[in-house]
Amino acid sequence: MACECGDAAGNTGNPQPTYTPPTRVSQVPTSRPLSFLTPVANKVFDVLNWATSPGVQDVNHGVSGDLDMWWNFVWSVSPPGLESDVGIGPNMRDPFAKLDRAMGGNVSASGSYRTGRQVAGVSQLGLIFTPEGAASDTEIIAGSAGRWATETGGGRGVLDVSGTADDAQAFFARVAEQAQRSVSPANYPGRMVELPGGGRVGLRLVSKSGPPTIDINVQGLIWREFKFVL
Amino acid sequence: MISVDDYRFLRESLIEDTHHDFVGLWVIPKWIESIAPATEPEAVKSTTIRLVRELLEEGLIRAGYPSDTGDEFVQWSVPVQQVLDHINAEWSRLGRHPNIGEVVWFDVATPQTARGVRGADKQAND
Repeated sequence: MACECGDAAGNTGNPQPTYTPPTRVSQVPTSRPLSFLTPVANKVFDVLNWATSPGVQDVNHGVSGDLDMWWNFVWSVSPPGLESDVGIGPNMRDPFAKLDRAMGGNVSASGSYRTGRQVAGVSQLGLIFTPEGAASDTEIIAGSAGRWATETGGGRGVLDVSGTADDAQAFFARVAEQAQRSVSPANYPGRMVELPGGGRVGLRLVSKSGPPTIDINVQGLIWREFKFVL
Repeated sequence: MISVDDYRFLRESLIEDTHHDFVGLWVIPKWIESIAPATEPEAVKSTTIRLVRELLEEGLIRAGYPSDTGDEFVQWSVPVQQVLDHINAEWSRLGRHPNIGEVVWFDVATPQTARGVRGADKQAND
């Protein structure tokens, strides 16, 4: 993909570009400039000087305007053809603030942010660019599923799948191909990936009741487990 | 805030599901948000902890995590309050609702395993 770099393209080719955030709302570009970021799909950029901006180190009532400003700013520099999400927090644990261009660029998907009640130390802001029209997490799950016979399983949100351990592994492999990264919670007895929309999918080859189990936490999806019961 | 009926449903669901599989903490806030989407994040957390406290104190579930092999449960033999403190601290550290595999899992408590938990509580109170 070609870089649409403007005059400020000092970071061309640098996978971790650094730039100075705007400090006042009036500095947020109102027109869409050429981006000085190299368009990269599913890439997290660290804003290395984020922590030096004193007004935004804690996410609380007082800085919600700053975050809105950031979302507007990110929207304005988003390369054509790419959608952008903003994530905040140490180590990008939870890129929960979703920027949706169709909603004006400053609507958060996070209830905790909307209410201004989220309090967290912020030392990093990440930008994630994904191609417009990319599959949602739900679509990734649906597209990776086989032509399985299924029935409601024991437990709320559990789906029994007429499939084998090989089917479970094949499903997980298809999901993992489209994942953003691998994640490894300490007490998870299996493999897990995080999808571009922040959803997570894990594979446990053995579960309490025996069958290989896919754990799913994807917003909007009612299922939380697929159990491969053949 | 969820209704009394919804809370009762959550409670029964968690007890029932621990009979089928180990249930991660992450499932409870997901259920609460699916039942009552307008629930504030802090209320989701406090409701989750209240539910966990009740079921642990009543000896209906036990806290811990799945073994590496996935088919056994490694129980934390610590007082209920210590489990709750751990959940509260880790949840705050995450700065969001727990996700799959994070913080703690739950399994159904048999009379034998429940004795272990109550024994730990007794030790803490002695």
